[in-house]
Amino acid sequence: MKKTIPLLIVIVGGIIWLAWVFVPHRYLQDVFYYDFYLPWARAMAPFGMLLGVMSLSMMHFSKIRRKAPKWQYSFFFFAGFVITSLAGFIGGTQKGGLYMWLFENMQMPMSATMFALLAFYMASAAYKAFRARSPEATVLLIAAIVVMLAQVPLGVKISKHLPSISQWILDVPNLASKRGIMLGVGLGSVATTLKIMLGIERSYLGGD
Amino acid sequence: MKMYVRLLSLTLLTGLAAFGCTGRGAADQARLRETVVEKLRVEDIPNDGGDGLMVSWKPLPKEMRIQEYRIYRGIHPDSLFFLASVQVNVKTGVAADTMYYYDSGYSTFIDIDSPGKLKHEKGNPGSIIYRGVPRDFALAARLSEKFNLYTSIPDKYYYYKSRPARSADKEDETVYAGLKFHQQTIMASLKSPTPGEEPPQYYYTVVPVNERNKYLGIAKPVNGYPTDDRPEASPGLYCVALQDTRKLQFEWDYPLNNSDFRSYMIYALPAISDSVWNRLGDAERNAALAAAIPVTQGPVGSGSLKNYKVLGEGEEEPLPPGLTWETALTRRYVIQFADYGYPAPSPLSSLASPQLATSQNLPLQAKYWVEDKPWDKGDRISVTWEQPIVSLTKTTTLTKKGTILKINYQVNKTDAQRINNIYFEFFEPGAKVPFARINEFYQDNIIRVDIPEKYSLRNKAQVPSDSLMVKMTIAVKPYRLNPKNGRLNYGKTELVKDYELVQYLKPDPVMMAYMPTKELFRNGVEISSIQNVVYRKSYRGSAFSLVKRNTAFENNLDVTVPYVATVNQGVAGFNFIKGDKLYTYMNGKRFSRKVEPGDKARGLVLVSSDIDFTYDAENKTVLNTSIFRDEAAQKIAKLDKDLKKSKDELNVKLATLKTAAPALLPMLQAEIEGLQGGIEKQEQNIKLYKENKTFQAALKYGSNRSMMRYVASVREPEARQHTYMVLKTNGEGLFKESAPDTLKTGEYVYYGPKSNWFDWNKLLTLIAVLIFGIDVVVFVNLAKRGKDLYLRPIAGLEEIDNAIGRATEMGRPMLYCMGNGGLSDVATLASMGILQQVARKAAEYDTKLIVPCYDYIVMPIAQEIVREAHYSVGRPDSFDKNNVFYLTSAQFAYVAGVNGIMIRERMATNFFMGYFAAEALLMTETGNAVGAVQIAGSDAITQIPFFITTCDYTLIGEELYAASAYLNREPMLLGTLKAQDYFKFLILVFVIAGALLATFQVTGLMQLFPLK
Repeated sequence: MKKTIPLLIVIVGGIIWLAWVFVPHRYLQDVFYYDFYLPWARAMAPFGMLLGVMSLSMMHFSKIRRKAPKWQYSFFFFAGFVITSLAGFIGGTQKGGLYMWLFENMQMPMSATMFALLAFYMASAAYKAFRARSPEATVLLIAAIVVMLAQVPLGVKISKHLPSISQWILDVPNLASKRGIMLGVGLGSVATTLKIMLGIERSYLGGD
Repeated sequence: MKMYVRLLSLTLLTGLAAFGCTGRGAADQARLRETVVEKLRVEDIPNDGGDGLMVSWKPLPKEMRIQEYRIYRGIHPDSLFFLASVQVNVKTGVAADTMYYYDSGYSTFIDIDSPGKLKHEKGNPGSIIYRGVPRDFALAARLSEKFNLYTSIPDKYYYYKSRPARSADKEDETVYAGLKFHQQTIMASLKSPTPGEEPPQYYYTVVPVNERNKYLGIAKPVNGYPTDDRPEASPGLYCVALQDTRKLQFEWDYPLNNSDFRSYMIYALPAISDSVWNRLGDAERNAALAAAIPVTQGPVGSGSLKNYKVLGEGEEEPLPPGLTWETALTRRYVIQFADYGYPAPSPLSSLASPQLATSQNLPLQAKYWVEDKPWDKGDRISVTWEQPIVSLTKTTTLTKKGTILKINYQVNKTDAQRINNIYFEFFEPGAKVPFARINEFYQDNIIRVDIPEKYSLRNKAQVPSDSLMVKMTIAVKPYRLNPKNGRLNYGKTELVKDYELVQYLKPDPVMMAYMPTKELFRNGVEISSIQNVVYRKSYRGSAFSLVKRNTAFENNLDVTVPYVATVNQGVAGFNFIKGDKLYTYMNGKRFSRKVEPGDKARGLVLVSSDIDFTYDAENKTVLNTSIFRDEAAQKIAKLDKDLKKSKDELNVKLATLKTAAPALLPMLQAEIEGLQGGIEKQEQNIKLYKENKTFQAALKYGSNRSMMRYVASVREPEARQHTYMVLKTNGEGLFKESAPDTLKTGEYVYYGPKSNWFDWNKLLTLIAVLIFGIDVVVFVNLAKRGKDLYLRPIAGLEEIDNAIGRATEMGRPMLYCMGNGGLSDVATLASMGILQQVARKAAEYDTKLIVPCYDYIVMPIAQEIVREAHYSVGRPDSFDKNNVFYLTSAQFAYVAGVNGIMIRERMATNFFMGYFAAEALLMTETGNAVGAVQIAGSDAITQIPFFITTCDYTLIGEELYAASAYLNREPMLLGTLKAQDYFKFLILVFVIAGALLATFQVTGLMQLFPLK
C-alpha cells in the first residue's frame, strides 16, 4: 500500500500528461493545466523548499553538534542564512534593499568568479584531450585546431578555406554525432518514461 | 578566543551593520527628502474623449541615480494613491527636458493586490502618499463619486458566488449582485465635467525613487480636470466614381484619437477649388454647408466599424435626392465626425474630388473561406482569402563570377494548406522562354539559380541595368476539413489554375545585388498595394467591425476568439455596514438604514444582476435574465407591472387630453403617441419572453447554480459566434467587398471555433509511441521467459564496483552528484536508478556516500533511496540522513559547495550522473585534482566532451538511461533496452529511406512526419 498509491498516482499522472501532448482540447490545456496543475505546483513548491532548508540546517547542526572536521564553517552557513533571510523578509527583495545589495555585491561576483574559473579549467581539459596519444586523439587535435583558428582573424590569414572547413566540421561530422546522441537520448527518455508509467522502474519511489 | 569564533563574530557584525546602516547619514537623508521634481503640471489631453489628463514634470539629473518616478493620484490634495510608475535607466537618466504620463482610459482601481487597509507609502509615514486605493468599502465608495467605474469579474464568481443584495435606499427595489473585492478587478477612468456642475478636480504628485529604493521628496500636488474636446477632422476622404455602374465609392481615414467617435456624415459641396477651400476658416467652411447636400451618414463605433460606403443603384443606399449622377461628378465631398460627448461635430475634412474609374479598376473580389483552426483548443478561427502566396525576399551572389544567385523566398499559407511544389521560372528582359526553371519540391525558403554571365553584377565590362523576371506557380494538395473530428483529408497534388505570381529582380549596382521589387503581380495585376481587410459581425451584433488590416502578401488571418472568462459590469454602488447601519453609495448619493436580518456583515460591491442571456434571431433582440433564479422567474411579472404602469399613465394622459387647454394639445398628443409606442414595444417584449423556449427552459431549473450553468452553456457559445467578410482595398476608394457569406434564406453563416480532441498532426507520433510500447512489452515478455538478451558491455558501468571497492580500501568517502536537473528531467530519474545500486554497494561495504542535492524536491527522494538501500542490505545502522542533503539551487554556489566537500573529505570516488551545465567541468576538474576515480553520465550534449576529458569513465547519452537496467540485470528492465535498440533500427531505416526518396523528389515519406 505504501508504494501502490504513489505508483498509481504516477501512472495516472503519466497517462494524463501523455494525453496532454496529443489532446489539444480545452479541458486538458486550460482546465487541467492552468486551473488545476499550475496552482497546485505553485502551492507545493514552498513546502519542498522548506524541506530543503530543514535538511541543510540539520546537516550543519549535526556537524556542529558532532564537532565534525571543519565544523566551525557551519556557523557561516547559519550566519548567511539568517542575514539574507532577515534582509529579504524585513527589507523586501526589490532593488535598492539590502537583500538585492547582498545578491548583487556578494553572490553575483562570487558566481562570476566561479564561472570565470571555467576558462582555466577548459584550458587544462583541452590540454588533456588534445595530447596526441592515439590516432583518435590526433584527429580530435587537428579538428580542434582548425575550428579554433577559424574563429579568429589569423585563421583567415593562414588560409581562406579555413572557415569553410571549420563550418563543415561543425555541420557534418559534429552535427551527425550530436544527432546520433540526441536520437538515443530521445528514445531513452521515452523508454524511461514508459518504464515508469508501466511500473517497471520504481527507483524514484526510494527502492524496488 | 579561537579564530573561527572571531571570524564568525566579524561576519555577523558586518552583516548587522550593513543591515542596520544601509542608508547614508541623516543630513543626506534630509537632502534627499527635499529634492522634488520641478515644473509639475497637469493638463487636459487635447482631442481626446474627455477622460484623460497629461501629467508632466522636469526629470532630475542623472547624478541623482533615479530608477523610477512614481505617480500618485487622488481627489483631494491630502491623500494621493499610487497610480503608476515610469521606469528610468539609472545610468543614463532622462535626456528630455520634460517627462509625461498620460492618465487616460481605464486603470486599475482596486484588485486582489491592493492593500487591505489604508497604508502610507513605504518610508513615508504621515505623508500624503498612500500605496494604493485600499480594499476599504467606505473609502472606495467615497472615491467612486469622482470616477467612472467598471468591474471585471471571473465568470464563475459572477455566476455562482455573487450574493443578492439590496440598496439601503428604500425606494430602490432592484436586487443587485454583490461581490467582495477579492472576487473582481475594478477599473476606473476620469470623469469629464457635467454641464452645470462643478468639474471634478484630480490631484497628482510625482515622487522620484533612487537606485537604493529611497523615496525622494514629494512634489506639491497639482490639480486639473479633463474636458471633452472637439473631434478632429478626418486626415483623408477619397471618392471614386465608377462610370460603368454609376456608383460612388467613399473611403476615409480616422484621426489618431477616435475612441469616442459616434458617427460620420458626408456632404456634397458645389464645385470649389482646393486652394480656396484650404484658405477658408472653420466658420466659413461650416457656412458653406448651407449649400451642401447631405450624401450619407452612419455609425463609426469608435473607429472600428466600416470606413467606406458605396452609393448608387443596387446598393443599400442610392444617391441622395438632389444629386444626380452627372452632378455628383462635378461636386466636391467632405466628411465630418460627431462624438459621444462634445456638442459640435469635427471640422470638415479636405475636399475629395471624384476620381473616375470603372469596375475593371477595382481589386478582384476576395473569395474567402472560414474554417475552424485545426488541432487547437478551440479559440481560433482561420479566415483564408487566397492560395498560398510566394514572394522573393533577398538575393545573395554566391560565386566570384557572380553567376549563381542564392534567393531567399517566403511562403505565406495556413497550417492546413500543403504545397507540394513551387515552380520558379527566370526570364531575361523581354524573353518568352525562361533561362532557368526550378522545381522546389522541398520548401526550405532558399533556391539557387544560375544566371547568364551577362547578368552578373560582377561583370566589369557592363553592369546590367534590366530586371530579371521571376514567375512563380504552385502545386498544392487540396484539402477538406472534416468538421466532426477536425481531421484534414488531402487530395491529389494539382497545379493551381489561373494563379501566376510575378516578381522582378532589379540590379542594384551600389549594393552589388539583385533586389526583389516590392511589386508583386498576380495574373498580370499588381497587388502589393492592396490591403486585405477582415471584418466580422457577432451573432448578437448588428454591424461588422474591423478585425485586422492585412498586407497583400498575407493570405490568411487567424482570428482569436477567446473563451468567455470574465463578465464586465458597471459598478452600481457599494454596500457596507458601520455600527448598526447599512450604508449604500450609489450615483454619488449616500443612503443608510438600520441593519436588517439577512444583510451581509461584510461590504459588497453592487453590480447589476441582469446578464445578457440569449439572442432571439427572429426578433433580433437579446433577452436578459437575472443571475438569481427567483428574480429571473419574476421577469415577466415585472414586465407586466411596468406595462400596467405605462397603461395607467396613458389613461391619465388621455383623461387630461379631454380637459386640456388647446395650447397644450400638440404637446400632450406627442406624449401620448410616445407612450402608445412604448406600450406596443413592452407588449412585444413580454410576448418575446413568454414564447422564448430557451428563456422558459432556464426557469425550470430548481436552483441558482443549475440555472446559471444552463445560462452559461447558452450565452458563452453564442458570444463566440461570428460571421466574417474580407474587403480588398487600395485605401483610397478603390475597394471591393467580398460576397456576403449567407445561406439561401439570406441569413448570415456564423462560425464558432471548436475544441479538438485529437491533434491529427501528431498521429504519426502516437503511432510511433504505440509501436514502441508494443516493442517494449514484447521484449519484456521475452526476457521474463528467460530468453538471453545480449547487452554490449559498457565500461563505465562495469567499473562502478571497482570504484566503490577502491573507496572502501582507501577508507575514504564517495560523492554522488545528481546534476542540476529537477524531478521532471528524465536524466535525474535515470540517475536515481544508479544511485540505488551505488548506495547498496556502499552500504554493503560500509563506505560513506555523500549526496549533495541541487533540487530540494529531489533531496527527500534521494534520502529515501539511500535509506532503502541500507535497509535492503541489512545495514540500517550505517544510514546517516545528513549525508544526503540539499545544498543550494544556485549553480555556481553549488559548485563551490561540492568542490569544498570534495577537497575537505578527500573523495576516493565521484559519480556525476544526471543533467549538467557549465558546472560540470568545474567539479570534475577538482575531482581530478584530488585524485578521485570519476564516473560520469549525462544526456547534456554540451557537457559530454568535458566529462570525457576529465573523468575516467563516461556514460554517453542513452547509456545513462540504460545504467539502471544494466546494473540490476532485471529481465523487465533489460527488455526495454532491447526494445529501444530495435526501435532505433526502425528509425534508421526511415531516415535512410526518406533521404533516398527525397533525392529522387519523392517527398511523400518526408511529409508524413510532422516538423514539430
